[in-house]
Amino acid sequence: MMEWLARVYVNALNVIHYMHDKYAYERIEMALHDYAPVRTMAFGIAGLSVVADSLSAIRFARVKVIRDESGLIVDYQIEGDFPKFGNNDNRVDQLAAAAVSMFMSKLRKYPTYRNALHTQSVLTITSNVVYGKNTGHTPDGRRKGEPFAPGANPMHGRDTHGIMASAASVSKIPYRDAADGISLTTSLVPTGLGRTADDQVTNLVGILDAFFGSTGFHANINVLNRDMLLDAMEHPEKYPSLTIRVSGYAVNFVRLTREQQMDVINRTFHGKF
Amino acid sequence: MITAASEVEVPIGSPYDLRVSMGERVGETGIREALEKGDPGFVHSFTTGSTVDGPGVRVVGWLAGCQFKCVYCHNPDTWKMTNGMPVTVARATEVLSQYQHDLKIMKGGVTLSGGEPLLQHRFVLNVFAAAKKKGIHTALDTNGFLGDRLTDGDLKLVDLVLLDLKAISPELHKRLTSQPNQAVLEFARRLAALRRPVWVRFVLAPGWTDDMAEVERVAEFSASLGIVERVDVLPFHQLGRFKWEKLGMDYSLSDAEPPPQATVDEAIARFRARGLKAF
Repeated sequence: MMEWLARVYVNALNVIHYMHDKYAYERIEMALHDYAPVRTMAFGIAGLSVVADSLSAIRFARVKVIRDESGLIVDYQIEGDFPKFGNNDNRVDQLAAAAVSMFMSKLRKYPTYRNALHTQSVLTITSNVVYGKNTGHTPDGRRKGEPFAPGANPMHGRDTHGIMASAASVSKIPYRDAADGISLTTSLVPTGLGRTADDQVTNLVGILDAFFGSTGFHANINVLNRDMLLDAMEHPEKYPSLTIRVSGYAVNFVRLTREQQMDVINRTFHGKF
Repeated sequence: MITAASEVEVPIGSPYDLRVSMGERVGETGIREALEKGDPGFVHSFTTGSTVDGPGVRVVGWLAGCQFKCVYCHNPDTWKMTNGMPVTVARATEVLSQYQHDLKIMKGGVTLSGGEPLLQHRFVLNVFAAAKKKGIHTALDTNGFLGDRLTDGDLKLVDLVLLDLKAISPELHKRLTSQPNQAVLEFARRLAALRRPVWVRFVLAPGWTDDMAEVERVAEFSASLGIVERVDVLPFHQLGRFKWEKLGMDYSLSDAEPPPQATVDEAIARFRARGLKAF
C-alpha cells in the first residue's frame, strides 16, 4: 500500500513540477536563479500520531475490522489498552519514526523531475483539520472527520505525561528522513509556566533550551488563555488583532474558520487548569 | 477512569484522572515487603514539565497513600495506597535518566508528592539517592506528619522540603485533616534547626482556612522558622469534585466556590507583611 502511494505521490509531483515549469509565470523569474541550483521535491505527512497510535493499537491491543456489504473496511473495534505517541514510550515512538523513515525510503526509489532531491516534512498546520475531515474512522479510535493533530504532535489529549515527554517523543523522529521540518505545536496558559511573570519567562526559556539542546527541530509556542480564545470565537470584534503562531507564520485568529479555531483551542494545552 | 492495570503496561499519566485499584494485585504481603524494602513504590500518577511543584521545570511523581483526610482534597483517590501502580526503583531511575540532562538545563529536578510520600519513605529515599547520584535536584512535597521517619542523614538527600501547612490551630487542623498537627510543627522546627531549605504551601479553602486570624498564625509560624524561602498560597478549586462523587465519598465542600481573588491577595499580603516571599 505504501509502495503504491509512494509511486503515485512522486508521479503527481512530477506532473505538477513539469507543468509549473511549462506554464507558470514564475518560470521567467526562475531563469534568474544561479546556475545549477539544488532542486528539492517536497513530500509531506499529515496525522503522523494517528499512524503511530493506530499501529500501536494493532500491535498491543486487539483491533477487529468492521466491513461494509462490499467488503471494504469502514470501522474498527478496539479492545484493551495501548501506549500512545507523546508519552516518551519507545514502544510506540519508534513506530512513528519507522513510518517516517520507511515512507521516505520508498519515495526515494522513484525518479524525480529534473533529479530533484526527495524531501519530507511533518509540518501540517491548519491543513490537518481539512485532512481529518476527509479521513474515515482509524484504528486508534479516532472517529471519522475528527482533525489530525498538527505537525508531529501527539493526538489531542493522548499525551498525558507533560510537555517534556511530548517533546521527547517528537524528538525521536529522524530529521534526516524529514529534512523539510518536524514541528511540535504547544499551547500553554501563562499559569502553566509558573506563578510569577519572572518564573514564567525563566521556565519557558528553560523548556526551549532543553528542547533544542537535544534533537528538537521546530516548535510553535502559543502562550495564551483558553478563555480568551473561546471569547474571541464568539466575539471576534473584540479581538481584531489577536494573533497566534502556526508553523512558519502568524495568523489572525478571528480570520480562521470555526473548525480551525476549535482545533487551535483543543490543541495540546499544557499546564494547570 | 483507569481501573486495574491491563495486560499491557501503559504508562500512568495525569493526576487529574481518577485512578483506583492499580496496586491490588500486589497483595498484603507484597505491600509490606515493598514498604520494608522501599521497592516498588505505589505511584498514583506522574508528569514531566511541571512548573508549580518546586523550582524550575520538574518531573513530579504523586505517590499513593495518605493518612490525612483533608476535607478539600482534590485527589481523594490518592488516599488508598493500593490505588497506585507498583513502580520499581529501577524503573523510576530509568525515567530520571531520560530527563536528567533536560532537567539540569531547565534548572529543575524531581519532586515526590502524593498522597503523603513519607508513607513510603524508603522508596522516596531510594529514588532520591538515585537522583542525587545523577546530580538532579530533589524536592519532597509533604504534610510533615511523618517527618520523624527521616533521619538527619536522610534529610541530606532532600534538597528542598515543600511543607504543606494545613492549619496552625490544633482544633482546626484535626477537623480539617483528621489528624493533630503537633508532629508537623515539630518537623518544621527540626528543619529550622538543621537549616534545611523549606517552601511553605498553604491551601486557602472557603469556610475552613480563609479566616485571616488563622492565616496570620500560619504566617507567624512560617516566619519564626527562619528557613522559609517562599510561601505559595493555593486557592481551593473544584477539579477534584468528580472524584469524590465517583468514589462515593461524602464531600463537604461539594458546593464551595474558589475563594475570591481579594481574599487570596489579602492572604498573600499577610505573609509578605512578615517578611516572607509569598505568591
